[in-house]
Amino acid sequence: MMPTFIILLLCSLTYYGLNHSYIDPLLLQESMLVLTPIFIIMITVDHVIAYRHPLAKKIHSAIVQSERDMGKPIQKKHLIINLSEIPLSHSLATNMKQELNMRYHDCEINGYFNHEHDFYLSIFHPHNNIPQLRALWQQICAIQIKFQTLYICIHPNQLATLKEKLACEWGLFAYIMQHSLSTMIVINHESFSQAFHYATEYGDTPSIITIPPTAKITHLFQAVSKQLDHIAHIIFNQRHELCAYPPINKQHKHNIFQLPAFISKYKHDILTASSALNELNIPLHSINLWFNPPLSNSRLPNIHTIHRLLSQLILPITISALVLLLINLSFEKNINSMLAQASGNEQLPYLKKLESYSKYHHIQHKHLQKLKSHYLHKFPESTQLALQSMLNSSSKKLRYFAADKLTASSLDQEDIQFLIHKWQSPKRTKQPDYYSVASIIPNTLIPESCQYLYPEATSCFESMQSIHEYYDVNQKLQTIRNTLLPIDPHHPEQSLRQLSYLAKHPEHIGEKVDKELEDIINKLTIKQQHELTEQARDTQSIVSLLKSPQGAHIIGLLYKSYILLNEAKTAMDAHKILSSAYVIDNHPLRSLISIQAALPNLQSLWLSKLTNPIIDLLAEATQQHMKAHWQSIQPKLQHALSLYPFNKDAKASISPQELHALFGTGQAIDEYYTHYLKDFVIEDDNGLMNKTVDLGVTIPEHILMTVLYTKIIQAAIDIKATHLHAAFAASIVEFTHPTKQVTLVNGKNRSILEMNKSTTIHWDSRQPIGFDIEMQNGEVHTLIQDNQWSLLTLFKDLETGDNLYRYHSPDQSWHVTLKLAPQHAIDILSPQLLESIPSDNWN
Amino acid sequence: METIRLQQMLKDASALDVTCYHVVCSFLENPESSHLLALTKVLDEALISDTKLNQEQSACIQYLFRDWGYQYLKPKVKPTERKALFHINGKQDAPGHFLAAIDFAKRVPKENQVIMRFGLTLLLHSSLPKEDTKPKIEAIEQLLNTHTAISSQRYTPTFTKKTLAMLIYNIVLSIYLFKQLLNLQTPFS
Repeated sequence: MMPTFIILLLCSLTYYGLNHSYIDPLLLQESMLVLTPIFIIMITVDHVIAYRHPLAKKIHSAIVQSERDMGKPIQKKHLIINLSEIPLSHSLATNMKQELNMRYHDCEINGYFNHEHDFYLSIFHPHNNIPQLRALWQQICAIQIKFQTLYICIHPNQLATLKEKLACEWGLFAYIMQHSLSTMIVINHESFSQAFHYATEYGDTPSIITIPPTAKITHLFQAVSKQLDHIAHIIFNQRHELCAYPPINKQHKHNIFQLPAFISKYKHDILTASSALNELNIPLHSINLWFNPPLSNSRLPNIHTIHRLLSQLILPITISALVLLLINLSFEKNINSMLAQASGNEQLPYLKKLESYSKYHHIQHKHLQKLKSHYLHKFPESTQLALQSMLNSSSKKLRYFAADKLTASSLDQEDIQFLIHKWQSPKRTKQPDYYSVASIIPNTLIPESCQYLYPEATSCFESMQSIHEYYDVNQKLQTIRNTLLPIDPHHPEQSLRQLSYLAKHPEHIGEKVDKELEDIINKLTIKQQHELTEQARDTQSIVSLLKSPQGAHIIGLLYKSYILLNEAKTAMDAHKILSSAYVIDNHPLRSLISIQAALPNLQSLWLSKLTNPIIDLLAEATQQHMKAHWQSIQPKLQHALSLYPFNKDAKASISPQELHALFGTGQAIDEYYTHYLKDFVIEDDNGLMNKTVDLGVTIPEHILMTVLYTKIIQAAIDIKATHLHAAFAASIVEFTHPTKQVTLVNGKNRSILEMNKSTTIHWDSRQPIGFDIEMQNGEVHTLIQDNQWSLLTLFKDLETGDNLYRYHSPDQSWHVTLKLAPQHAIDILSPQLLESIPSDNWN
Repeated sequence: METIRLQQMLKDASALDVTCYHVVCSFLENPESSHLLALTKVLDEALISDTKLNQEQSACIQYLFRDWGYQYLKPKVKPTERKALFHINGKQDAPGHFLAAIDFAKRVPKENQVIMRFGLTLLLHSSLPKEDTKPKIEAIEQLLNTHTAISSQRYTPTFTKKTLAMLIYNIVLSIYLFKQLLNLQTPFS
């Protein structure tokens, strides 16, 4: 179990390593290629050392001698461990020839060959001295001879206690049997083995009890019992013939006659021993009643032999298959992740490499489809359909054009050929309309398109031609409009030169365009293309506008705007420019927007295409600038708002110094507002609002709300660098019996509050504040708070509305009602005033 | 006990045949006069239980076994034991008529199959000279024509569905392993 567990653990770790890129799959493959020959060399060296072992030398010389005598090479090697305490000679078949005899301590080592030229190595100790047998076994292990079959010879009297013996003193042999491919038990008896030999030789008696593979104990019992009965029955029936004919003495005759009785006597012990071996997971092949090697025909590979052999291999094969599966899976995953990491055209070299690996064609196909979708999504839906149809068409030209169009001509011919080959699908797509095809193809591809995409349409060519012309003229008009003023906000200096030149030489505006437009209008009029004619006339009107004084004014404003844009080297510069644009009504940018709003549709659209890029560039930089500075305040604000009194449940409270640094007049938020936001917002009674000027800057509402709350806090308390201050007019409204009087304690000052007569309270966060409530009986209740926010903690939960605060005695027997009128614009005691301040990021 | 075990094993043989076999076996294993007397009782009981044989035939079997055993132990058997041994069904028989008893059975071979089979067993393991027994053995063998050939049916393990499933699994797994090995390739290096 343990090696299996270790192997599975290693497999899991390898898979984990491969999946998480801790192990490079290629490195693993290379390591396997390097390690395999190293292993082979190590095994070879080990074999050479084993070959030179003295025992190995003797065995090999016996084998060589026998091979010389027999004239054929040795077939198989078998091992006999004789534990019966009697020599094997009683039990040996007549065809066994002894060729080797040696001793190791008191152990006997014998080598036999049979007619089939199989070699049998027998080890034996007359008294089963286990330490000596163990030492001999170690020597046999060292010579590394691989035996086909293991024969364990035991005496019939040992059968009953076989299980106990294997569990204790014969533990080594149990281990050997468990790890053998095939184990056979041979019953070695002084007299009866010989009798069985005769019975087999002269009769028709089987002497081998075959054990069914992987048998259940009941099945095993049944099988063994049936075979024993069968053998006994045969011998019983042949008892006269067997005793009459063989050339044997009287004693042998008696033994043969007694064989059925012998089987009957030991049947129970044989069954017990079989079940014991089964319980110990020993792969028992057969029980032999004398040493009778199986005949060659029984060793021919049959389905059971194959099954037995494969059963031995089941674990290594399963584990190997599992490991290979995991490695292959991780290769696939690796390929997928590499393709997923590469984007667009970067995937192509990988996809082309996969072409020669048929195993990964499904991955290649999947990613090619993904790549196609990636390219297609850059186009409108109708164009996607047109391109898809072209890719699936049988026209090479159309397929090539579609692939080139999809990849925006970014690939060389070979790559495009690869893509069109791979992207072509026999699946029929919906037929695209003429417009979507004609709008993307060049004029030369119209006949090809009609032939392959619309084979049944009769008027395809004419329709496509006219649509194509429409898009052609439309494109021309768009180009004229876009190139009338060749300016680009990303190149302000170049644009400034152009604008300066045109301002000085207005006669060059639309110099060559006039005639071209005239020709287009004439052609379109003939063809009655009213929509395009209208567009051409609008374009003509833009040219006229530019040549007019208003046009000169627009060019002048654009020139000024580009000067500003050119000056905006940093985000701070952009902020400065847009701040001024929001403040100054006749700022060039605002003038351009005003003119744009007053122009007819197409002219307005044309002008917006010139002004919007300038505004967008400046607005984006301005927003970034404001955002960056807000990010330096936001963490401090967030921290402050997590403290008392902003968070009622907080254990710590904000110090006056922290409050001042953030919310004080002219401090962090105030300063931020003044420097960065003020020009972009309107302050009125409703609070703070973004200005309606359309120059692209919008301050988030929550930022404006934070600024507003800052102003409210400033209006509610005096925030000093060292302390906080607030003033209230306090008076007693009501107190019940037995209350006698209420004394205000404010620092060291004490003043008795009178009914409906105001007394000013000056709360200083550095001093304690509270009341002493004196009872008729002279008893005094003291309510005093001494902390940085003593005012808020003193009146917490006492408000009853309309600036009235009521204190109830703990037993609810009396109460005192005070009125506190704030002397600031906003009442700091207002509930939830400090709890709703936003502290979010800019976005 | 031993007889019962033998009878369970040799289900096809008759109970009398098995008992006859058992007494001979047991005597050969332990050739003592007391044991012989004990075995005669076992045999006598079996003959009483058997309904197919008549009294004469039973007496013949009883005599055959007794005389056969007596021939083995002749010098060792005491006169009292000999007397007890040959006291069959209330009559006192004389020893030494073993071969004559065989001849008696041979007269009607069809009816005396059991006696002849038993007689053959005893002749094969007899202490009498080979020259005396050999002709008798050959004669009985001819008469019995007993050689009922039983073909050796070697046990072959049953081929279960589970074995087949395992075999298929092994083969499929081996093919899969080979395929996986062929597929072991990474295109990106």
